[in-house]
Amino acid sequence: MIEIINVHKSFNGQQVLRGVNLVIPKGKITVIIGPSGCGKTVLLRHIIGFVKPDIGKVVVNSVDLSTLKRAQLNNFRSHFGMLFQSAALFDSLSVFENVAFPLREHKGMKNEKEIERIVHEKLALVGLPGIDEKMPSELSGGMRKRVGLARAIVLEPDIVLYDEPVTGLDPIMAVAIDNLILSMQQALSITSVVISHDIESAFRLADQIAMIDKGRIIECGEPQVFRRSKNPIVQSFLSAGNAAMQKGERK
Amino acid sequence: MERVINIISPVLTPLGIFVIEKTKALGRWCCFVGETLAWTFRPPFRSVQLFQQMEFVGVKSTWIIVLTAFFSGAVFALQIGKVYSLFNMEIMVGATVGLSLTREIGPVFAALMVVARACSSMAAEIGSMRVTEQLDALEAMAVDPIQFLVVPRVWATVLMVPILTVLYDFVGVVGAYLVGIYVQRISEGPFLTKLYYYVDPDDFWSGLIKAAFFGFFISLISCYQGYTTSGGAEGVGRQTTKAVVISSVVVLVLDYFLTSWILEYFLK
Repeated sequence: MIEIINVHKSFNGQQVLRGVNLVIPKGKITVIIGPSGCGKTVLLRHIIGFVKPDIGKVVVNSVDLSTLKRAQLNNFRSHFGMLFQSAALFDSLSVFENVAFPLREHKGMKNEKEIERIVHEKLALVGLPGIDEKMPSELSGGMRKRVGLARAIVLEPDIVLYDEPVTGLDPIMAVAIDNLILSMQQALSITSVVISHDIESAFRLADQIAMIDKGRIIECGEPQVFRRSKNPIVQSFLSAGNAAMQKGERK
Repeated sequence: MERVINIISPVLTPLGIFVIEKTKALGRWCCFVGETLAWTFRPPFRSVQLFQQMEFVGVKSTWIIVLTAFFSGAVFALQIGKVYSLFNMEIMVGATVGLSLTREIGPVFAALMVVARACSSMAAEIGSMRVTEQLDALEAMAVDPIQFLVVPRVWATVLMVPILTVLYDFVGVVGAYLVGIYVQRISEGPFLTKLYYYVDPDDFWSGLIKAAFFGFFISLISCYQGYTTSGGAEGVGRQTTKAVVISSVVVLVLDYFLTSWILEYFLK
């Protein structure tokens, strides 16, 4: 379980998070939605410990991240996998080496046969067998995201963080990535936190949806409860999302 | 009192902000240097990355060093020979070029060539890794980017710039020799005798000490510029330019201070 307790954060005098409180249940998918620039990614970066809160704390599996020293935090990060918005594959390494990287660096694995077996298993899980030798520059956006996902789950983490996993993808690929997140959720029972501003994707994935606006959580609940929210900002965000979907369908 | 404050605050406020910002920047730089030095002695040691960077900084700079060294030695001999011929001192061309190369031109030009070829690339590569979240990905996988990317680059440059300086000195002297003997028709015997007589091993070593210092600072500056990149492709371009300009200026400024230190204590 992840508990975000009264987290405040500002950068260069600009307040980004203003007292965020959120509980992310274990083994479920929580989708955090909100308009661009509202602090979603900053919140995600707090969860993995890239950023320390000015006030408040982030507690992951009963451990307060702000109390950990750098080396302890590094070790603790083996609980996490993260899919970055741009996939963040290492340009100079092949697909195989990218996926094998956490095994070699974090786990210190030396057995090449075992590394090969795990990498092939994870690439098959994301539907990309047989692309070991390709370089990231040879992959499409969707393939890069899937390789990024294989790398994120290669250490079999308890928690996977997804930073806008479907942004920039065509609708078919977006659905494919969503299905992949769902199937991995079912296969590995991991706690997932998904950052998104895609309403359709959020309702497809979520066990719980939280909306952040101007640095605060303004609504949080199961999808059905969230849809019935009386908060005007939530309703306006939902109706804007629905209008965009209908416009797309008409086109 | 309030009137005085109203008058001076428009001047003092920007000045105060400037001082605070520069102090913060200095603090960030010192932390970066400190972390680089600390990670040097902490396992795991990245020998594979170190050798890869030694190849990139050293081996791949060989031809540009040979080319620039040959022609700078040659043109130097040409100019010096012209002037010395007015005093019938042509036989001193070899010694003059040899001293200049080993003490100053060799280390400075080798470092500038490494700045242009390798350090610009370091800043651009680390900078683009920063803006495409690859540095965050490293941290997410519990790998410190300074340890993984910066430490091997810095020590590879510290090791390779002196070696490139040796090459620069040698090829530069060959260039001067060919121009002196075959173009200016200086007698080979006196040319070489004066070269051996005036150029001491201490001159050579002092150049190598400088080269190692240059290597340390130019690689650190370039990695730092890349590491602190923000603002997408434009940011990468801006930081790369800054890396090249600052590194080049630092080589020339540092050269003065190192030279005065070496002259004071080692080449009395």
